[in-house]
Amino acid sequence: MTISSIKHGRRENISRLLELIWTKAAFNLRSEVNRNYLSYGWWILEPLMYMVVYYIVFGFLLQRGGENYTVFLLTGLIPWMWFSKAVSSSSNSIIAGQNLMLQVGVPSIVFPLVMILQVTLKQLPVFILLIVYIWLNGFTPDIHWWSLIPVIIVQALIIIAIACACAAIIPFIRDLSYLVSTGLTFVMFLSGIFYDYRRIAVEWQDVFLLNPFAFLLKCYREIIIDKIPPDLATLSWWGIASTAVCIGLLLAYKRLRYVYPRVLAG
Amino acid sequence: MTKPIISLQDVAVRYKRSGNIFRKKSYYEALKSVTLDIYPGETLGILGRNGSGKSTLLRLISGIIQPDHGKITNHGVSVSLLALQAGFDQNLNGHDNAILSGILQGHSRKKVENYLNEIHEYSELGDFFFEPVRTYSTGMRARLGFSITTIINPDVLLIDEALSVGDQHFKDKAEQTMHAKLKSQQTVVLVSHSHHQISRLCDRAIFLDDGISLKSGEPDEVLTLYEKSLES
Repeated sequence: MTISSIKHGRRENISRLLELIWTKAAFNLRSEVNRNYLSYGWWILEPLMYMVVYYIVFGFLLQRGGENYTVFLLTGLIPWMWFSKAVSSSSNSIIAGQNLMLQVGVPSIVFPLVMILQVTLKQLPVFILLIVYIWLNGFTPDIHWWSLIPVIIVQALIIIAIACACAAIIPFIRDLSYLVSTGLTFVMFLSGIFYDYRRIAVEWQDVFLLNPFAFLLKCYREIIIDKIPPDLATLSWWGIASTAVCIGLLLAYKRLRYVYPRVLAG
Repeated sequence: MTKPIISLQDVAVRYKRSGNIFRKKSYYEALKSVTLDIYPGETLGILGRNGSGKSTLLRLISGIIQPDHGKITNHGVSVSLLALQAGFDQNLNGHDNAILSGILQGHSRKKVENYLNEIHEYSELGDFFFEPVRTYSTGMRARLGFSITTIINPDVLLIDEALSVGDQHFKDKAEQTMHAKLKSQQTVVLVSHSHHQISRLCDRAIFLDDGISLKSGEPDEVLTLYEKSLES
């Protein structure tokens, strides 16, 4: 059974798809900017505000911080915000895109991927500011900073895997969208953003680090604050695992492409 | 004999009405049995009352859904559903929405950008082309949507009662465009309630009655059948 599609080769199809994802994400950002008064400024203001609040609560009121607590906090907060915004905005993306899906034959994986790209592009200036800030605080980049590249890549893979998985499941079990926001809050507390994992009882540390996010934060801080290389072996395992999940999701999305319009229209 | 570019054979589509793993599922059969062929260069009209399955049929032809039963074959043609506001982002202007819409319909960005001037002119939106779509009237959005889809020429154009929106001037203009397409290579499938449009614009018509494709043939013949069914 052939279904209508562009009559060109598959390679062109993929490049068209990527162009669609990129263009849609860029236009979504432009649309957001057209709407908000503070426009671009808000993208940076928002994480800054979070940082100030967390610093006041944990660093000042509770005196739980240590030296350079702001740098410590930020190296946890910024990667976290990338992850949590990507997952929370992607999880409902297929439901949100139902009108579009019923008018145009767009592969359903486009919806979460557009959201992930959109969030990532918004986070870019924040990441850069983070680097500037920690540099100014005396944590100059050194050779270990090169290992930030694999860490960021693995984080991206984990984000894609989790965000696309949530987006895929939620149209079938809509109640799960509540679980996503609660789940993110749990993971936030269990990842060591505000505290150093080394303060936990030693016997629990390994279990704690099974949380991929806790592990990623450990990597970020090892590179930036402790100036030691991260655990590349475990990082590679996470990379392989999330790549496998992504491939599985690609196949699942292919099969679900014609299921979603029914589930949403019915 | 020309070969059809799209064929449907005994196609059925049903939507789930209620039920899940805990309750018995009940279905609504939008299409029960549809068999039709679409030939290159023709303008095919689809007549049917509300609820006869016309929108579902168009979604099937444009590749948005697959049938539950039967077979649909597309012999390698591109199909675009003319939706009046396909994917319009209210906060973007007409220009950006034209690009977005064109890409969503499967064209490359370069190709769409080449057509932008033509789209702008045809839509007669003037300076509004660069204003956010949320400031547009319904008619203006319809014009934009129509301009985008017709100018970027898919192989098969599906129109779901879109010609009925807009003022008389634009309706006339749209009809003129349709006439031009009638004579051209473009294949058009037009869903309409307007007897006038079907009889004037279509080469062939098909009557869709409660999910079943009945009589197909000369527009006037099918129109008579359709009108008879409205009376009963």
